[in-house]
Amino acid sequence: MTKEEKMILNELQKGIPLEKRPFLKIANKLCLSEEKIIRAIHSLKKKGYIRRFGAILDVNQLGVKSTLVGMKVRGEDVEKIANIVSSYEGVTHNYERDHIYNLWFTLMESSDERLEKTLKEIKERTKVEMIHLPSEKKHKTNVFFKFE
Amino acid sequence: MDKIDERILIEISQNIEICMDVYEALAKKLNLSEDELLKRLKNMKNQGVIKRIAPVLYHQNTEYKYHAMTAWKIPKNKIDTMLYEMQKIENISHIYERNINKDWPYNLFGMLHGKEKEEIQNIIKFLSKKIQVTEYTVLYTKKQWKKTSPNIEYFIR
Repeated sequence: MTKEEKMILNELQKGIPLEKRPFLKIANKLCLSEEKIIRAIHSLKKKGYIRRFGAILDVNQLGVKSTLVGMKVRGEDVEKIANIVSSYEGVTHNYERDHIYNLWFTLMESSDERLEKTLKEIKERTKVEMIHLPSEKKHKTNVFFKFE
Repeated sequence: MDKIDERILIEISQNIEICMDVYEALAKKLNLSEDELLKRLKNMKNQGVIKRIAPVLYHQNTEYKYHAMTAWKIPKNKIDTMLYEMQKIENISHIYERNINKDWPYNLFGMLHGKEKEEIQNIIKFLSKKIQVTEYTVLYTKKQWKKTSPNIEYFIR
């Protein structure tokens, strides 16, 4: 990333204004041209830094129920189990971690009933010991990477 | 929230086309006027449905190479101080309180991101000392098997 791209990316991560020509606003703030901002976004996408440019939603506001699950998977089974878990549309994150509970996934469904149903199905299909940790309270859900 | 809002959400939760008149292009796709689209976007932002419109990064491709989920056993009387300290640290995202159970005593979660492993270790040391809490566990990311943004269509259908 160039110095300018880092500066632009730091600013964009805060969110673009909901106004006409939003990149012009950002350009003025950074004392750059609007074209430069747009070109930087295309370049950052091409270079594989930006996965997606779009809205970040709070799906819980849409009635979606979510939970976090940790699994204790035998080393040789990780790939197989991970693939089963990932195959569910409601699974958005699935990570292998350095811990006795070594596979962690987040599951979202449109209702508590669906959430229970999917969890039960995953449990039956994988036959793996798992802990189910629904969130009680969200305090912060923003990622901000500061590039220097 | 009506059907039009739903169509907007489905569209903007994907990868939007980047150009000068980004909202105009989006509005055209949705058969709305730009003003109408902006009005609805602002509404949904105020309701908290839309957090922001921004780039989502492939964080493993950036200089942030180390990621750890940390889980802490924090007594009730220390929760507020711990939250206050955690919120101040830029390297921490996703702070959640979660229910404990017999196999899991840790009630507070924070995702840590660092350019070096040491950065993560230092934050943990700092928090542990500051809050006087020694019961916690650190789960470094070994492999990302799946990471995707929620498919809105799947949830609202």
